[in-house]
Amino acid sequence: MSRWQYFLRRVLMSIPVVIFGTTITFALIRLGPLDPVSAILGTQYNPQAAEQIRTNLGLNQPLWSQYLDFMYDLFTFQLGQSWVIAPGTTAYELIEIYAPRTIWLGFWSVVIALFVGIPLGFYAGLNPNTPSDYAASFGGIVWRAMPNFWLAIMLVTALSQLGTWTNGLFTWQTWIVRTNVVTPPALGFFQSPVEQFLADPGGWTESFIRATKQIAPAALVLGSASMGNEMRIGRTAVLETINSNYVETARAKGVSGRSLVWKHIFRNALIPLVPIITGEAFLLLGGSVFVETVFAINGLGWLFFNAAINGDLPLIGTLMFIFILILVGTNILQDFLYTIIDPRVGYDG
Amino acid sequence: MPDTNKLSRRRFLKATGGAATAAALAGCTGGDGEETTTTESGGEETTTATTTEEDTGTELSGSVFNRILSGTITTMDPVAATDTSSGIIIQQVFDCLMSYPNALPTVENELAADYTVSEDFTTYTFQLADATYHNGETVTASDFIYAWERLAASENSRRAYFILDSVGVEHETDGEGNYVPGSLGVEVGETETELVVNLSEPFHDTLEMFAYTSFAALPEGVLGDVEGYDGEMEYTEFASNNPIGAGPFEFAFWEQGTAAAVSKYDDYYGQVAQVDNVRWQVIEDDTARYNYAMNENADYFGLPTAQYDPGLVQVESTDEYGREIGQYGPVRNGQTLNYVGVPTLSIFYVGFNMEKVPKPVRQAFAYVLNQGQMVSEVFKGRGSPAQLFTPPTIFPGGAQAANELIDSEYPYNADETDIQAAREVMEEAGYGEDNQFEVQWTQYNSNTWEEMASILRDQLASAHINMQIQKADFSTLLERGRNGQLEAYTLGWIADWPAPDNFLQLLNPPQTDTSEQGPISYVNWTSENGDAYQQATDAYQQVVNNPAPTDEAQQIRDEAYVDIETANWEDVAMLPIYNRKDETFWYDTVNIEPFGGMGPSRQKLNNVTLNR
Repeated sequence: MSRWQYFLRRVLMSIPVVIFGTTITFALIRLGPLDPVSAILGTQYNPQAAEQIRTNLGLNQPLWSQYLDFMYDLFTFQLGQSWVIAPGTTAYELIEIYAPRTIWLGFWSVVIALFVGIPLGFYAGLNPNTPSDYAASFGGIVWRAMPNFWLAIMLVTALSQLGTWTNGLFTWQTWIVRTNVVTPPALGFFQSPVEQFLADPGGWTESFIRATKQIAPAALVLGSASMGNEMRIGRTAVLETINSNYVETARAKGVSGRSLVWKHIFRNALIPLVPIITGEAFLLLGGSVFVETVFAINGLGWLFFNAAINGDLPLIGTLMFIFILILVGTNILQDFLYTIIDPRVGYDG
Repeated sequence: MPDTNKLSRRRFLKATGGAATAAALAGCTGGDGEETTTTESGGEETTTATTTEEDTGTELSGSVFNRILSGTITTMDPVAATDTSSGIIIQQVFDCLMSYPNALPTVENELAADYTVSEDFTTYTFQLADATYHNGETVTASDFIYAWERLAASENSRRAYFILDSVGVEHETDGEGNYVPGSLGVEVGETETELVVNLSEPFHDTLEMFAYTSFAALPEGVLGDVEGYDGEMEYTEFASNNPIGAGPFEFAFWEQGTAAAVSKYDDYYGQVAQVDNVRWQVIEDDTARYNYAMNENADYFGLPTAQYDPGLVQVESTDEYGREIGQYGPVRNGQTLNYVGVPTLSIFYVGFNMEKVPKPVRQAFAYVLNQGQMVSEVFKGRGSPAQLFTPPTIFPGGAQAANELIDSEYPYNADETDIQAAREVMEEAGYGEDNQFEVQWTQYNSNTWEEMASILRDQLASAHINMQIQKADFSTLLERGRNGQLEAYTLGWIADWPAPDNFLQLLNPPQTDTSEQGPISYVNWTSENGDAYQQATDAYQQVVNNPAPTDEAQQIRDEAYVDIETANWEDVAMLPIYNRKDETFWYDTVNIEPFGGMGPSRQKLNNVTLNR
């Protein structure tokens, strides 16, 4: 089977997954107890007003016809307008507003996890049962064990009070660049980064640093669990590889330490980490409703949650559809990565 | 169709109050905050006014009054807005004929420079102030006709019944009872700034209704969502980027889910705003809001109950409106805040679906519930215990008459947990250890209310009542209420206008039938499940039959209000818990008048000054 046949098969197999996922979304929202009209009117419920809204939203049509419309619109990418959260605004526009923050947050939390967790894990694995291994492992376990909801609140509270505790010597808000502890970062500098950078390199860099600093605490919290995970799994993977026969053989052949680690150990130890890392990609999409809430970064997670509890069908449908597409996409990507990293995995069978 | 109008008017009452409820239950009034940043260096504190550099959003030039919104903003269209957050901003951008000055519960003229009322109270003639919109056009009577036509006929309007049924402006209906576009009884008078409004029957709170932002003026023809207009701009453009009103502030920007701001309108016909900008950051989470405020990112804000310590309040004076003014602190960052606590016209209550919860059980609830205990232990004193459904300040005869009535006639021991009496009433009805009554308690997702529910559950367990606690989001809670699926439920009500009928229409038995379309409340009060059904029904009919703003009609209504209250005591359709106290806090960087009983969202901000 060629690469392309394999790819095609994977894509075809994902179609039922997408249909199933969106159908479930529709069913949960429309058959459940959620009533978007109640959400719009609140307790100021007036039957006439409600009837009018129902007609406008097409909620008076038979359910099967609503379902067909819903699916048709999604699969032809005619993403509808929000009903409740921002009436009249298209789901696409809303995603455009909310997604960048979540992606920025997700990006940094994955980066923190990757660049702290994996090196630490590998270091611990290469130096097993030494004090530094114990320190790293213990740290990893503690880090892993701290729940997000606790860590987030502690961090926000601590950063807010640093000024008081240090008697004004150090405040998070004024450190390097002035930022708030909570609220979303300004990401305007990404709109046309090259031109803006060329026009005003200093200002652009400052905006970049500011946005990074603003997102850092939230990213640290969100990345903390995966950081611990990657550290632990990285350590185990290295230990397993280091003790395998082919490493011993390579060593016996006189392969140098550096080449041994990078060529034989590192690559093989990455295999179990791949699904962990791609799994984290979900952070980029859903973010974490909780972390976003505590840091007042109203991003996609927040939007998703609000759309869900208010029965905002077009919005939730669109978000689910896109999430499912991206998840299916990352799964396909993951399979490709396997074939690149692990020579034993091919397209056959 | 006078009857329909009356019924709908009650409906309206219910409806409006509800909104308040929603906001209240959601746990907040729009707080406020400011975006000053404080730099501490060497013990010396310097405060700098900043624009929104630290935040997302457009930068604002000049001084900025920073506040917090605890709920997300949905639209800038006055006829489409149903939530408090949108309402707070719309209040600054749009002006109506009337307004509540600093949210005190007495209306005064706004865009109306003067008005006269006909002897039969059905024709109101308004002379408009010499005002302009933010686009420079003059405010004329035909703008109101256009704006109100939108309210009645636009597909974007969510408040058509306000003008058609609640106020009852004359209009025609087609065979199916729908409004015929263009048939409103509103016309231009002798000059182009004279507005004549014809009602189909008198209504005692007409002027108060005209203070509602749904009735705000907007330039004629700006939108094309009613017949005869093409619209100068797209609807979404108006509703999210460019709303044009005649209010003291122009719209500056709104970034979805993040922040919004308004800027001073220099040609305002009234007091031109003293601050250049007002900015609201949207933060829904209590903890985040608290941190934002403590970091002095906001000037003016509310405090979540969890972070609120009643011991830190020092009340210096209480004014004629019952507003407690003083200081609060020191707070976490060492500052002492300015404080105002105002009893708002609100009621939070337990409603019973009387079809499912028999009278002895309801009475047992009434015996056991100690409103005073709940307010002090659960709500940290942020309210006053209530036995009456009408807030005492608007009760006929005022707070004193309310207290006298409670002292002489309240049947269930006010502010006392009487488990013994509860047990007796249950045992008389045949319940006992082996025959407990199971009741489901449904409430909004709130920890505070859950705490209260647990206390009640434990107390009721000794009175042979087994109470299950369930939480639901609003859209679900109300839907289930309307379908008659609730048993005991908690909701609240906040005044749209300061009169008891605004509250007591929830207790008009025929309108509580959940098998009908659109019940006002969900208690299913019938003659089978309540002995005082007839008393309440008759009394409410008296209110409906005497709608005029005259002393005579007022007196008949007042008597009827008392009858409805005592009928409710007898049958325990709704068990009042407390009237909420709204509290706001602000740093010395702001000078702002305390808000009144209509709540902070009704306060216009053109008199606010900053000192930094």
